[in-house]
Amino acid sequence: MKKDYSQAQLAWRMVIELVAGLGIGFVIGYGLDYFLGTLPIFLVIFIFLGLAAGVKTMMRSAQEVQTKLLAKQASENEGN
Amino acid sequence: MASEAHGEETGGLVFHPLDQFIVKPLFGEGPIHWYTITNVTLWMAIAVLAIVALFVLGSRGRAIVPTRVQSVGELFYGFTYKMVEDVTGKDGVKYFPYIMTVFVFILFANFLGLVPMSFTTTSHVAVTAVLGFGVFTIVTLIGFYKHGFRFLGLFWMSDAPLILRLIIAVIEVISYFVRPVSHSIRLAGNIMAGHAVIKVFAGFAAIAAISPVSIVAITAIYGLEVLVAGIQAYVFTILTCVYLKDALHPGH
Repeated sequence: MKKDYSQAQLAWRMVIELVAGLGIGFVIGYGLDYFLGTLPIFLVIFIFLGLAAGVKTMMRSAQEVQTKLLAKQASENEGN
Repeated sequence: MASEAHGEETGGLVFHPLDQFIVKPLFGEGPIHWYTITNVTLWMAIAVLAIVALFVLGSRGRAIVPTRVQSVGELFYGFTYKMVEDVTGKDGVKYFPYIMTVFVFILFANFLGLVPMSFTTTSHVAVTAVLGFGVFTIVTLIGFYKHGFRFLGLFWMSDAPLILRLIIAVIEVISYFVRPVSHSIRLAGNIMAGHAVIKVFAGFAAIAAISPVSIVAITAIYGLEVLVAGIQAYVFTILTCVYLKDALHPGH
């Protein structure tokens, strides 16, 4: 039960990271456009940058989990 | 106010799953200013008092053979200390008091929110964002204090071509700011969603035929929520430790 829940926890974490990246990109882009008066340009650029940042954060947390898993497997193999 | 906003439902089924999150002033009516004492203030104060009761009053005797309350406090202390030491290493132990404070406050706020008729302070993004951005600010300041402006090297990939390096730097800065946002939204979202689901199931209890199912479902979700309350506090703390480790030892 607890193990299943921690898997869901991981999925939630990654989804939120992806969406938060997009959101921050949107806010930065919209803010720049608001002050510079160039509405669509920075918005589009920064949404893509935000998406890239979100994917990057997501991949990093996936990598973190994988290294943890590999370390666990290695220690289990040593035990045998 | 709530019933005016929703109108009178005729079918007998009344769902107001989000009404439990309304912030109300405790004394009198009127607009809420930053100094107004609301139910949020009350339940945060109860959380702080409960923590004081456990850690200060409980360990007042400083007994070598601990009393029951003191041993619970020692259990919390040992658990958090081990977590900080495992994740951040020996040089992160200096920051243990802050991490312990954050962990215990979130844990108590989450569990006090599960008391029936209580108010869940951690279900508001306003509360968790202060905690999340507090962690973010402190960790960033520690990084700058320890490494000076070399800390900015975290955003500067020196092994990429110059044009790409600029774009990567922007992406890295945004992904650095993703962390406090996801950190705070995750805690508030999990807690709020669970409490709203309990209220939705409670709304179905008005129909006599399905009320037993509804009560069983509430019990099951409540059990899950007890789990969530603990795990979310744990996750928040362990991510704080991870961010602290990143600030103490920058580099990819």
